[in-house]
Amino acid sequence: MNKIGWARFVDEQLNPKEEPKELQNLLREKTYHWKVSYTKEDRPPQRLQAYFESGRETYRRIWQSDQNPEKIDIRLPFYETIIVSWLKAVHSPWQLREIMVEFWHNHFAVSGADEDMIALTFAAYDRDTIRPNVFGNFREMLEAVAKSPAMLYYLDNAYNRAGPANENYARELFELHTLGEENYYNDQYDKWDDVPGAREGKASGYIDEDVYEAARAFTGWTVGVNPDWRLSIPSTGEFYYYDNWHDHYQKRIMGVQLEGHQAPMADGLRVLDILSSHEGTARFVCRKICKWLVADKPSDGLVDKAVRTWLEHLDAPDQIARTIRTILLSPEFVEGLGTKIKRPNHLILSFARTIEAQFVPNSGAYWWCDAMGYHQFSSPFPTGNPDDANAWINSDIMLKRWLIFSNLDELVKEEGYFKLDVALQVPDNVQSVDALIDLLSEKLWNGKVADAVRTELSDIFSTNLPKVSFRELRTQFPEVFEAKSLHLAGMLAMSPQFQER
Amino acid sequence: MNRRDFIKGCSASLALLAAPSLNVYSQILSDQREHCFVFVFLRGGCDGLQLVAPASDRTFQDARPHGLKVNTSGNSLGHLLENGLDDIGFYLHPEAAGLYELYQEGDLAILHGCGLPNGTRSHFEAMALIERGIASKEAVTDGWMARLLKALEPKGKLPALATSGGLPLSLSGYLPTACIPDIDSYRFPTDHDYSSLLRKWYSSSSHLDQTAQMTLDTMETVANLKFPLGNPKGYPKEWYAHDLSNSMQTLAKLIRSDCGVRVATVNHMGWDTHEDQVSQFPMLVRTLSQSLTAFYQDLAGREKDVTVVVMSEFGRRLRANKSNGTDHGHGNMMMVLGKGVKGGRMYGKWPGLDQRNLDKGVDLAISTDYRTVLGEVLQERMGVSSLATVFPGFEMPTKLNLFKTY
Repeated sequence: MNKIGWARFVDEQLNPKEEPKELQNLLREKTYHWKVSYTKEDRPPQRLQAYFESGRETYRRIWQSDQNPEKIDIRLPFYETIIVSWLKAVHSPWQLREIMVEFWHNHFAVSGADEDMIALTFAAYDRDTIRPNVFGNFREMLEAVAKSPAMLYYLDNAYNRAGPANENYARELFELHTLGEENYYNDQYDKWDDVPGAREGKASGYIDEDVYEAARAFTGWTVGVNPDWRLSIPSTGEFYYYDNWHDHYQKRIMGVQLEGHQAPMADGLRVLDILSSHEGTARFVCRKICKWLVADKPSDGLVDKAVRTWLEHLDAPDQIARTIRTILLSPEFVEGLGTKIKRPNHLILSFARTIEAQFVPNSGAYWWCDAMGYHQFSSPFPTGNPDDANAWINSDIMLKRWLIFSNLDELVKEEGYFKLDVALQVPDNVQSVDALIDLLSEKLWNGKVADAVRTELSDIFSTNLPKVSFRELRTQFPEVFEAKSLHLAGMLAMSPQFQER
Repeated sequence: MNRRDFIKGCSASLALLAAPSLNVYSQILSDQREHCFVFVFLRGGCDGLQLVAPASDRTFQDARPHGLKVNTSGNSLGHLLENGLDDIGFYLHPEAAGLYELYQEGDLAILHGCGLPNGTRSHFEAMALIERGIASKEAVTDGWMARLLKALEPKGKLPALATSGGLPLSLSGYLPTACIPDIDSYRFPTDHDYSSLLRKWYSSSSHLDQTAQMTLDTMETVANLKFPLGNPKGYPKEWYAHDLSNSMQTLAKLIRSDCGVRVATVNHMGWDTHEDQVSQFPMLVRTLSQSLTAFYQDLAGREKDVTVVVMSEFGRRLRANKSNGTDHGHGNMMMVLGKGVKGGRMYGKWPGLDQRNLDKGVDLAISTDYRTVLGEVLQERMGVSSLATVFPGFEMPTKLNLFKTY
C-alpha cells in the first residue's frame, strides 16, 4: 500500500464510524444490551443487579445471589462481552479499534472469571470504560478505570478504607498501569528525598512509600452497594465515593505534598494527574503499544517518537490516537515490522478470515483460546495476557495450537458456530490435490509448501478415500470432499508460516 | 567456569567425604546422579505468619485480627511444631494436617525469616529475581534452573519439567524443557500422527522450529513411558485445588516412570490475599497440604530420590489492613521435604517481631537468603559443589545442615 494510501487508511481507522448494518443486526440478535444498575430495595444488604434491554424482551434482572428468580447465569454479562469482542473482531471494518481495545483490556487487566461481581460488571467495563477511551485521552482513561466497578472489585479498592489502607490497586496503578517496574526504586523504600528530582516535586520514579500513600489517597473510592445497614452508602451500582472511609490526612507522593482535608476525591485525582503527566509513564506505555503493534523489541527511535507525541498532547482528547498515528506512519514502523507470533485468538481469527469461514462465535470461542493458553479477559495475573514470543512458544503451547487445528473438523461439527464451506471456495480449475494445497496455502499465508511437506499432506489427504479421480471425488462425494478439504486447511494452519504474523 | 573445573570441583568435594565402604560410597554417588529437585512456587506472596504462625508471641496475637491468625488454644488452634525457633511456640495452620504429619515423621523441615534480601514488594520483580537466582537487577536473563541443568548435563529423557503449563522463567534458557500439565492429553488424539509432517515443516534452526522439534521429541518420549503403580490417595478434589493437585499427580507419575527428571517446577497460584484473607487462606493451605502429602506418598518408594522446596516471592505484613487482608511483606517461611532431610525441626534465625526488629518497621525481616537453602539442596543432594554459575555473586554462608549425612 503506497504512502498516501496507508496514511489515509490509518486516519480512517482512527476515526471509526458506525458498524455496518449486518454486524449491528448480528449484535442485536446474539447479544443483549446490558445496563448495570441497582435494586430499589430500601434495606441492605442490597443487591447489585444487571438490567438488560433488547429488541426482543423487556426487563430481566440477575443479581449477586443464589436466589436468582429467573435462574439466569450471573456471568452472562461476562460471556456477552466475549461474544461482542469476537463478532466485532471478525466482522467489523474498524480493525485497529478492536486491536487497541484488546490492548487496553490487557493493560488494565481485570479478570471476569474471578468473582461473580466482576463478571456482573464486566460488560459495563468494556462498553463504558475501555471502548469510549480507546483512542482518547490517557488521563481520562485512567480516571474511568479507577472508578469502574469491575476494577474496584478486581484490585480490591472497593474495600479500601482508612486504617490501614488496602494497597492492591495503588501498587498495580504504579507498576502496571503507569510508570512500570522500570521506574520502581525499590531500594529507597521510604527515603523519598533520595529519589532524583523528588525534592523539587518531580521524582523520576516511585518507591514503596509512594504506593502506600497513594493507597491512602484512594480510600473511600468504592461501589454504590451497601454492605451494612449501619452505613449510609446509597444504592447506585456505579462508582461511589464514601467520605467516611477516606483517610483525610496529609500525604506525600513522589515528592509532591498533598495537604490534608481536601475536597472529596481530590487526593486520588491528584495522584492520577501526577502519574498521567509523568514522562516515565509515557515511555512505559508507549513502548508497550509499539510492542503490541510492531515487534517484540521495538527500536528506541520509534519509542522516542511516540513518547514525544504522547507528551505534546497530554491534554488532547485524541492523545492516544495521535500517538498511534505517529507510530504507524513512521519509517521505523515499516522497517521494524518484525514477525510476531500470533496470539491464539489471532490464530483463530486470521484462519477464519483467510479461509472465509462463516464465523458467528458464541462463548465457545473463549474456550478454544483458553485451551491454547490465551485467557481472554481472564488472565490469572493483573499483567494481562503476555505479548511476548516466549509465552507462546514452548512445548506446552505448541502442542495445544496443533491440537486445535488438527482437530478442526470435529470442532466445526461440535461447536456449530464455525461454518466452513471450503468446497464452495475451490474454483473448478483446481483439479488435483497439489492444486488444492497451493490454493489453500496461498489463502492462508500467501505462500507455498516445501516438496517434502507437500508429499506428506497429499498422503494424509488420500488415506481412506474412495478410489476415484479428484474430479469425481468433488462431484460424486461432496461431503467427503468437504471434510477432507477442511482437514487439509486445518493441517496447513499448523505450519510454521501460519504461526507468525 | 568450564566443564573441567566443574568436574574437578565435584571430585574434590567427594573425596572429602568419609567413605566407610564401597557400597555406601556408590549409593551417595548414585543418589546425587539421579536426584530430583522439585520447586513448588507459591505465587502471590504466601502469608508465612499465618501458615507457620509464631502463635505464642504476644506481638503477633495483638497485631492480627481474628481469622488472620493461628492460636495456641480454642478457635483456630494450630499444630504445635516441636523443635521450633527460640522459645516461641510456632504452630502450623490448622488446615495443614498432612504437612504436620510429615514434620512429625521427620521428613519435613521448616524455615522462617527467609527470602530475597532485595527489598522489593513487587510480585513481578521479586519473582523475576528469584527465578533468575539473583538478588538485584543484573544482566542475567536466563533462569537459575537452566544454569543448573547445563552444569549437571543430565542423561535422562526428560530432565527438566514444568507441570503447571507454560515455561517458567527459572527454566528459561534450557531448551529441552518439557511443559507437560497433563500426561493423557499430551498427544494427538486422532488416529493421525502428525509428527512426520510437522518434523518436515519445522526444520530450520529458528527458535520456533527448534521448540517444535523438541515438543515432538517430548511427545514421543512420553508416549513410550511406562508408569509403575503409585499410591494416588488423598489428592484434593475440590475445584479450587484442581490445578495444583493435577500438576503434582502428573509430576509423581513422571518421576515414577524413571525418565530422568532432575529439576521440576510447580506453580500454586492465588496467595495474594489483600482482602478477605479469612475465607481464602484456609482453602489455599488445605490445597497445598493435601497435594504435597499425596504427592509424597504417590512417589511410592522414590521419596529418597526427591527433595521438594516450597517458597513464595515474599511474605505478608504483620499488621492486617482494613479490608481484612494483608499487604506485601518481606521475610517468609520455606519448607524442605524429602527422605534425606533432617526434618521435624525448624531452621534459620528468627528475626523477631519487636518494632526494632521489623524490616522498615512493618514486616518480618530476612535472616536467611533463599539461595542459602537452595544452595544447600544443590550441594548436598544434586552433586553441585560450586554455586558460582548457578547463583552468580552469591557467597554461601555457614550451612544450615538440613540433610542427614550418610
